[in-house]
Amino acid sequence: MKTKMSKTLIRLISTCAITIGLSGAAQAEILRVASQGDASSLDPHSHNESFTNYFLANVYEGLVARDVNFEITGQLAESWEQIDANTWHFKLRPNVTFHDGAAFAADDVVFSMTRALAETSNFKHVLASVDSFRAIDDLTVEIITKAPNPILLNDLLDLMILDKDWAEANGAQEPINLQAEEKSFSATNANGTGPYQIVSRAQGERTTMAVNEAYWGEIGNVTEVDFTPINNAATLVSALLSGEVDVVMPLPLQDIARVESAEGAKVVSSAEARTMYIGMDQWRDQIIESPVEGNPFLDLRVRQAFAHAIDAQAIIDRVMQGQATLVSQYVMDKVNGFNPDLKQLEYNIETAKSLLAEAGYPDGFELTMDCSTDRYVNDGQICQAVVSLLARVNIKVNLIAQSKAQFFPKVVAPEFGTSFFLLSWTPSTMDSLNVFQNVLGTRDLEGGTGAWNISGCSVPEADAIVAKAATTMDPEAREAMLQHAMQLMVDDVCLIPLHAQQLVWGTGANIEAVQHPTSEFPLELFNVN
Amino acid sequence: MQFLIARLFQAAIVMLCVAFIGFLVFQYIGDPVLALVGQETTVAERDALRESLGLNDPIIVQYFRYVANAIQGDFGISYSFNREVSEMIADRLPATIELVLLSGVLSLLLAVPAGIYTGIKRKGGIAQTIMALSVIGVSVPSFLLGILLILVYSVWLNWLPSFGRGDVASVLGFETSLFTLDGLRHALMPAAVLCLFQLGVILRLIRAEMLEVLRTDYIRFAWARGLPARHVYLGHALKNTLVPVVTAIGLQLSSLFAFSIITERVFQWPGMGSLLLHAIGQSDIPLLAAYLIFVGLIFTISNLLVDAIYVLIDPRIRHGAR
Repeated sequence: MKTKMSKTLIRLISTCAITIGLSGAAQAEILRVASQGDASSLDPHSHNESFTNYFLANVYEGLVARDVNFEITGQLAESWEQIDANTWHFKLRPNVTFHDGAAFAADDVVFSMTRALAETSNFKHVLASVDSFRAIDDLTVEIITKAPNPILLNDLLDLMILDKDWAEANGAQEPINLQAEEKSFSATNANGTGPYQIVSRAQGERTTMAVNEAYWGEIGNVTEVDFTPINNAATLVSALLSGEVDVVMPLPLQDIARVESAEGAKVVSSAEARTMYIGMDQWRDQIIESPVEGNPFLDLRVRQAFAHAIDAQAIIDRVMQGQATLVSQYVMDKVNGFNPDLKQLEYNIETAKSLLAEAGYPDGFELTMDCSTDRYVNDGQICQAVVSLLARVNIKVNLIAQSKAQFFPKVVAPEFGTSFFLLSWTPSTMDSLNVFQNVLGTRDLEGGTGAWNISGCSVPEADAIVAKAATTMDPEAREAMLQHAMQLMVDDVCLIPLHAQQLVWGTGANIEAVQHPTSEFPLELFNVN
Repeated sequence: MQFLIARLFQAAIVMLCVAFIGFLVFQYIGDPVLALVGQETTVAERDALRESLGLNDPIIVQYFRYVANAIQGDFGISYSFNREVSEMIADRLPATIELVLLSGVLSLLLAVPAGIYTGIKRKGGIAQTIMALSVIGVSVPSFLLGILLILVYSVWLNWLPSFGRGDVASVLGFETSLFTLDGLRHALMPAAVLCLFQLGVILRLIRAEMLEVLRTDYIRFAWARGLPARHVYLGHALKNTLVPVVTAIGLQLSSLFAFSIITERVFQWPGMGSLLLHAIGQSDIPLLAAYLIFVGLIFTISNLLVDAIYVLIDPRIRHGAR
């Protein structure tokens, strides 16, 4: 009852704040954004897909977020403290309201966490380490983890907070349940605390947002956002060049020169956390779709030979038009666990040939490669380059270049139906634990690790170190462990790292855009000059 | 009346077959579950979702379940839009219809006079030019033409918008962009691209038919009777070219729906075509199935209309004479 009273009071106050805010509002600056895809839903718990998450991060907020320098800072949580190894107290930001004016309080956080754990939620993993949570008072939330979790804050980045009353009033207590064939109110409506609120939305057509005048934090000068998905790359670039949109993301690499030379448009790019790898089957006794007998990749020398034969720098220069960075390991340098001492195996055909000869394949062998053509930047061309590079060491590769709709069902669990492939990963937490758990760790599908370890590589020593690191609270000790584990995986050539791709956008000359390695687009940090 | 019922019955069978072929094809378009969940989703969760969506059932079971629901007007929920499929189609249909209508009308207005003219003055310079242009219209792929138009009129000249549908106005309960200036500006280029192929085909067909008819005896008699040229060309000749032309137009109009897929993609026109491409990319089976059935319906209806128009223009069919 008391909560209700104070909520009403805060609502009243915030209404006044809105009125004051409006009277002082600056001139309207509309930012027109176009992207190749659209958010798949407005429900922040229904589809864990990076574009949808980052789109919604402009509307909804989490307890913590990344600031302009990519550091984790408080968002709806003002501060936090660790009471003991497993207990965390989050002090919530006071006087925050949702877009409909309702006050934000601890019960909204508890509700949202419960919702994120619902059967139909796609975000259960962000709370996988959490044992229990409760509201201590109106502005304090307690989270107790099952075991010490040094990256609880990273995990919480993707947990968005909804208004409990709003969700309950609209029957959106849980994310959409497809099999029940219910329409979900929250898939097409939003009510967050974020800097922008949805004004209109036609999925796949257009979404307009207006600045949240009652927002607690700082916002750039963008007051309205007009978002359009444009699927066709050529149309996307034309829309920028004709001045019809201000930001296009991503900008196709082949159009960089065109945008750079155009008046009134520019290219912004920065390092992205997405890392590309070549994977080799290390779990079958007989590789598939190949005439070779047995599995050559079980021999470390063959894996090393492949790494020496693939000229990653040439791929960056030719295929990626320079818009990628060489990586020596399975994460890029801004991710926790990056080991600065590691070097990429140098490109050397002679070394590759002699390693192959030592392993018993002096005349090379033939195999099949699986590759998507519409998932990563220039993925099809990367694979073609790999095919011709390997031909120089007498490895004959039959390339199956296919759309992602064919590629992923073929290569993922439980079949893992490929013996040689291109794959990529972005650790959403920006911590290599995420990569170890999903991509590098020994496969244990029931235990929930290695679901994307399509190579089926296994380094038990690294697994043990990672398991220890997962509960080590001392950041330095933990970092050292992760780096050690990373080195073990690289020494074993679990995957061949190629490059970290660049995040490339085209914008109007008058736009100040902010890019993060995760490819999020925090519009409140944008400015129109 | 009996004729109509028979045709409607045929239409229903056509749609059932289309849906069945659709379901056979859906087995190869990918796994919708992978499009629905994030990278951190566990294998067990993926399996549970697949099971609950009924995707593990045999195709034939999935098909009959779908048909049983569809007969009751329930086309299911789109996996990727989380909305009712019938609602999605109702939302996107007006955009495609207005594009198809606009380009259909444009191509008829241009093709009929041009076809007659080139049929009569087939050696003239203008006629030769028109014929040359019509070859371009038939042979240049529409995505290329669309991109060229965007380059010229949006990027270089900055006259026309390159994407989207612009402002819409509500007319007779439908949202349409044909009644606002901004909407028309947006519709012009996609309609022109869509129209050009039809234009070439219909023009060439009318010309060929005219040439054929103008050689016949009754036209010579008409000239001999001293009838004015207008009567001979329009009253006698054109009328007799119409049966094959109307058939072609009917089929063309339905294929405009098919061609609009690419045009809509290029101009980001929010119609049925973009919806289909999205559904394919996401392996959105309920949406795909409904689209196929719907296009099947359009083809059968337009063929029905063509048959009805035959009766109007050709008295021999009306009177059952052969």
